[in-house]
Amino acid sequence: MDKQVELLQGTLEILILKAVSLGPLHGYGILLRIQQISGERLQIPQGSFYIALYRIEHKGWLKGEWGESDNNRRAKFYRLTPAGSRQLKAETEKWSQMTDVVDGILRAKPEQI
Amino acid sequence: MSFFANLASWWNALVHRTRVDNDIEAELRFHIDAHTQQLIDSGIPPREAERRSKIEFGRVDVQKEKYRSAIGLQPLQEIGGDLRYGLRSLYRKPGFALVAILSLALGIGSTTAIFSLIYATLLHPFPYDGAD
Repeated sequence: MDKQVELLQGTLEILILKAVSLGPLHGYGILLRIQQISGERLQIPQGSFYIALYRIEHKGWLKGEWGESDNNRRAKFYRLTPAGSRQLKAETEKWSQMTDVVDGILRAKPEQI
Repeated sequence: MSFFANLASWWNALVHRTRVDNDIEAELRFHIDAHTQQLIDSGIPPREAERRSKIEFGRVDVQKEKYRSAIGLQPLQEIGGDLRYGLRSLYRKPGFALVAILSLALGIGSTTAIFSLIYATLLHPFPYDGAD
C-alpha cells in the first residue's frame, strides 16, 4: 500500500503546527518534514501550502523570523508561539475525538443496532 | 491575544507594504530554489529541474495576492484598486469629471439651501414655550 493520499480539508493547518512544534523550520522545510513523516504518502498542493502558513502566522500561532539556511541563504524560519502550542493541543484532541467517532460509526455492524 | 496578532500583521501588511512584499517574494524564491536543488540532486538536469519547480509552484505574484487574501486584506486591496481606477478615469476625462462634480455640487447645494429656508420659515419652532 503505497498510495498517495489527498489531504482532507482543514487538516493542513494542524499538520503545519505539528511539524513546527518539532523544531523551527523554514517554509520549504515544513513541507518536506510533513511529507517525510507521512512516508511520502501525503501530497500537499504547494499553492495552498503557503496560504495556510500565512493564515496561521496571521493568527499569531507561528512567528516567522529571518535567519540563515543550511546553505547560507536568507530564509524565514517559523517557530511555535505559546498560543500556537495551545492551539495544537486543542486541535489534536478535537481530531482524535473526531476520528474516534467516525471510525466507530464506520465499523458498526448490523447486529450492534 | 489572537486579536492583537491579527492587528499586528495587518499593520505590517499595510504600513510596511514594500517590505512585506519583498519578504514574501524572497521566501517563495527560496522555496523554488530549494526545490530545484532537490530535483537536481535526484538526478534531473538543472534547467529541467528549475522549469519543473517553477511550474509546480505557480507564479510568485499570484501567490502574493493569495497572501493578502489569506490574512483577510483582499477586500481592502480591491477597494483601493477601485478608488485608484475611479480617480484615474476622472483625470482622463476632465470634462466628464467637471460635469459630474458640478451637478453633485449644485444638487447638494440647492437641496441644502431650500431645506434651510423651509426649516427657518416653516418648521423651526419659536424659541419660547407655547409658540402656537
